[in-house]
Amino acid sequence: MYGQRDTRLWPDRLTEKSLPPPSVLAWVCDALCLGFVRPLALYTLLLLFGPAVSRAQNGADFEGKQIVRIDFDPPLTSQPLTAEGIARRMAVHIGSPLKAADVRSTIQNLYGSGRYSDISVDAEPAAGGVALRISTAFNYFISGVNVEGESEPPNKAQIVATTKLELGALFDEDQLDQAEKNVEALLRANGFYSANVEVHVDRTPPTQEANIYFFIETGERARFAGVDFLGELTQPKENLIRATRWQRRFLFIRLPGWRELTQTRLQNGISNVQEALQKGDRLLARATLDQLQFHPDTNRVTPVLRIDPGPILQVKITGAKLSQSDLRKFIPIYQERTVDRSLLIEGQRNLLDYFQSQGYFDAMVDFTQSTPTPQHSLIQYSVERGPRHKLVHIDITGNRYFDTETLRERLSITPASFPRYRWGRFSQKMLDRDRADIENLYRASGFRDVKVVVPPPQDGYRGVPGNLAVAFHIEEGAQWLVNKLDIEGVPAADVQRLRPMLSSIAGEPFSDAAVARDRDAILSYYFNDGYSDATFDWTQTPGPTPTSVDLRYTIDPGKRLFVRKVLVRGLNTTKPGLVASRISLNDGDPLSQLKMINSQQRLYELGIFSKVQTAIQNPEGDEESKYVLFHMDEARKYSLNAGIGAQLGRIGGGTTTFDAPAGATTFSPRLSLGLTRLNVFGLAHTAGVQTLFSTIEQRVLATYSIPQLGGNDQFSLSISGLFDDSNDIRTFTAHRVEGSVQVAERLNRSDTIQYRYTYRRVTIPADTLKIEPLLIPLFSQPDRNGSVSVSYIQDRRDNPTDSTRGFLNTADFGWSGRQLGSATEFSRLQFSNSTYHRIGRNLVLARVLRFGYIQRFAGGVAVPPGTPSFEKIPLAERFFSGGASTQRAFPENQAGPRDPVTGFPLGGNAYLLHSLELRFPLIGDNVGGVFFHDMGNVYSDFTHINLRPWQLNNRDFNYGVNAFGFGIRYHTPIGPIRVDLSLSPDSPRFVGFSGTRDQLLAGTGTPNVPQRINIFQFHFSLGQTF
Amino acid sequence: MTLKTAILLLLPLLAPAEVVDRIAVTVGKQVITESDLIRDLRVDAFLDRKAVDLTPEAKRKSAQRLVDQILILREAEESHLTLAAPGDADRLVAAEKSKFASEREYQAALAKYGVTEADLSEHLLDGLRELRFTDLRFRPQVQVSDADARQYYDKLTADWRSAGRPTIPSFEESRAQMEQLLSEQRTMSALDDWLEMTRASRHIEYKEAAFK
Repeated sequence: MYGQRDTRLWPDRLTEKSLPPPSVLAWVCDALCLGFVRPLALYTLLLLFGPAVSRAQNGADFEGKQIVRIDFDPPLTSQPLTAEGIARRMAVHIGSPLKAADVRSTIQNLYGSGRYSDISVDAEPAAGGVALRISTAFNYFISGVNVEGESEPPNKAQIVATTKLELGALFDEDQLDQAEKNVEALLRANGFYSANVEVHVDRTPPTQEANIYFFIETGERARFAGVDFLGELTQPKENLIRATRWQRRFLFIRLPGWRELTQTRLQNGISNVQEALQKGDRLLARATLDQLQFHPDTNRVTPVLRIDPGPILQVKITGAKLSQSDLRKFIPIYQERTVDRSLLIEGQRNLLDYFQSQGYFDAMVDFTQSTPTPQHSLIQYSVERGPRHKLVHIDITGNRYFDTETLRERLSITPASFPRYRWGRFSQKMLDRDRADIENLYRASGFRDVKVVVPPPQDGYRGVPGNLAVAFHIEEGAQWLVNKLDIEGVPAADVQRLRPMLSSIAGEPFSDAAVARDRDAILSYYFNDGYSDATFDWTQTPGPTPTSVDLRYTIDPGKRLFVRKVLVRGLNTTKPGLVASRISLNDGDPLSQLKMINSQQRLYELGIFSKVQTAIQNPEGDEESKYVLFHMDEARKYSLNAGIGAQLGRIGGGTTTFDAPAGATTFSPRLSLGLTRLNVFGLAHTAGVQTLFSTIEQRVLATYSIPQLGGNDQFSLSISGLFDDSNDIRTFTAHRVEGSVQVAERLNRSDTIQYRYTYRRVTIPADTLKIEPLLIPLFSQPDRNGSVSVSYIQDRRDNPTDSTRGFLNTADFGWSGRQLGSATEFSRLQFSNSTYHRIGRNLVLARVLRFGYIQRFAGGVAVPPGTPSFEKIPLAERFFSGGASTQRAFPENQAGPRDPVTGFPLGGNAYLLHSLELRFPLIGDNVGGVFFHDMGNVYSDFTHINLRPWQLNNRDFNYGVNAFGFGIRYHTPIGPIRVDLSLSPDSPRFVGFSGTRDQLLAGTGTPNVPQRINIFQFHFSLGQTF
Repeated sequence: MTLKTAILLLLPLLAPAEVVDRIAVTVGKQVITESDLIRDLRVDAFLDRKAVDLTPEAKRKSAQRLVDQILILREAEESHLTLAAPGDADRLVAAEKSKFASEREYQAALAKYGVTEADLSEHLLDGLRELRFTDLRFRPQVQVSDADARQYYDKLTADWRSAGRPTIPSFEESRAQMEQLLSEQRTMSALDDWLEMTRASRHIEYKEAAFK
């Protein structure tokens, strides 16, 4: 037996060194056969020599033997791969002879799945052959990094980031030590020197997840205890200490003590000191942290800053004037805080561009660098501006395929126009870029041989010195077309699906850009269908004509990946069902990156997660079905907001006197406070209270909103309660208590329907009513109004805050009936239509039509206008309009009928308003202008709607008031800041009363005082008018 | 005799299982098994005509060599470098075979070392690939100036003189050799640097159980 061993594949130590000598074996066998020992002794000998004999049996003897059994340890049912996944990877099979190469392949294949950290294969003799046992140890993958006990700063996200533990990646115990050290370092950097960090790993073997927890006890944050400086100080130490802002302060008052240490505060302090040092001519001054001395007994730190004042550096410009701020903007040494030749050259180019853009198209800029003394460096830019030009004409010729307007839209050079571009926009760099852009545009459309010739700009255009004309001569050349497109490497069914997405099909222009688009479309298609390794290649061959090509796309989709299971982690209070409804990936689906991102987006949209991460578990593994991880960090449940602001406008006037019925300019400070509770019941419901306090309004609004009604994200429900005291309508002060329930149905991205029930009780104290005394008893009656209403909103604007294209339609119909708890029966219809049109490159024409109508009912029958009961629509339910967002001929809520005695507005039962705006850029890209015309009014009723542009007498308010004006818009990220000045030649005249309430009631005072809405109105607000 | 046969048949059934193969090293997703190490050491021994050394130290050296080989071959694949032609393996095996007096002697030697011709062929081909990779990837970067060659020559001649060598060739006579030697040294040094950097950037794990 020993002599017959096949030692080719098996280790020597197992074959030669570990075997008992042949003589011993032979002796045992002979002894047994000769019957010298008894059965018990035989058993003892077997136990004694069994293992040694078995080693003699090792792999070498198993080679070629039939495999009769394959076991797994842990058993197959506990293996991380599916049974099919394992079967696919097995190169050894029951019934086949055992081969060492197959064992190796099996190990490699199983390991390649990424699911195992170690694999070994044992063999043992079995009846009829050999039994294999495959022993495996599992890998674990990070399914979440959780932080508890932190005290901001650093916040959770910063701590998670510093661990460098990535969701879905292979978990390695060795990473934890480094992660823990990183967290401790981050905490120390933020002043937590006595922080205690504990790491706990929660493993889930079935899905091989390692959920990592960092439990932090921060201890007390250290405070600064002063600051020390090393090196030469060019400023008084006190100034530098002040610059750090590490001392406690309240506004400009220095308080005793020092602030707490945070990483940001430390860095900002050092930067501030550096900036302070760099003021003047010390641009290269440096402040660096030499050390941060920690005093454990007092838990304080003393930063030691090393100061290097650097040389005196002067930057001068000759030949032209330039402000210091412009100089700092154009010369990048100020931003980079260093001086080298490349930055000085960049500054030279920036200056040249600037002067060219100012009309000095022939400008020349040069610079010199010198060191008059060792500690003094001088950089001198010399500018020769040359004569000033104005770009007045751009000529484009030779273009046939694209019309001239299409090409002009792409140019960055711009002819002069007042006031936006006084000298036009022109520089050699812009001209070169425009020429390249035109060529690229043509090439993208198949004109591979296009040439755009730009002769030197023509000075003295049409005989005017300084006027410049630029010409683009386009030689289009022939258009190359695709003759034939073959797609290879994918099934015919895929080809059919792909073709409609492609640009480079037969008959279409041929260009590299179009092929690149096709490549992106094809790869996106496959990536989103689970083929994450898809590749694309293409070749072109000459077509049948000189300007045609045959294209061949070769696609290799690679292996398709599927979703094994979606794992959602990190939920504490949120219901899993809510999250599941937002994830569009299902078990068994092709693994689509797009769906993962969309699901992430939809989860963010719930507004209850501060962070949503998604990743594939074990991304490097070659298994076909992957776990997809979603890890959520729930946002804080409560958020508090506070705001302070002011309102300025014609919103005031005496409260006890009847002066200024059209409003007096008043300043009204306002304070708002709000508390929001997110994710109520773990269902993404939101409850909130918002309060507003100002001199003209006090409001408390409580809301409860459900973003997905019944799990359907097309429907949302909101319930609100409102307590409001306001005198924004100057005629009265209203105490309003209101409750409403609204269901909103989102039909699609742009269309929404809202169904609403509202009940409100409005009380108008008699002593606040500024109307004819006889009517006070009627209008001071408390108003109960219960109504159902439905609104339809159709929003197809390109940008809701500053629209340039599209339209917005809104329609609202409400019914207030006695059955609904209303004291007065009436219906209310309101409609608005806004449209936005772009004219040319820069102009936008916007218009809006608004219409509203209240119909009084009595006993379910419509009451005709003009009858006494028609007039009984409560004041608080009437339409009030006018102001910055509606009719700019009026101050806020001053349009429409007015009290014949006091002159205060009474509101109306109908309105018709139309506004037209021409919006245009004014200065640069951020300041725009508007010419507007507003027309219309609030009318006493529908039958009195009249667009007559003049007032018949001072009691006639049913006419169309016109306002013309000009406005300025300053564009900001949250919408434009708006200033409008209007002129209304036919603003209403009316009569008022001069005196006090007592005088009015007593019939004294001065009645019939002529009044008029000022023909000039000034409005200031945020956002476009409509 | 029957009892003896029965006992011999029974003995294996009582024997515990043996490890037939296991992971020795992992390089990313690729594994080197214990049997890979042993085969490598056997082929090496066959080529050097020396005794097979399967000590843990020898296995560890073999593992390091195979790790480098994997890194090199992976880099070559990612760089789309063609490192071997179809007939290379046959040519290398034939050259090795030619060192034996007869086919029979050759086969006997293979059997003695426990390797197959396929093992030998694969081993030689991998070596060739490593050489070609080194040539393609690193040799073009290596520059040897006249001054370098002269400096190297001076150092060598100083060593020769102190060793009492009777005749020393002139610089011109040995310039080509100096340049070649320096070029080789620098190429190998570049390869070593690259390997060190690549090893540090890859996840390489040695399973100690395979080296006991």
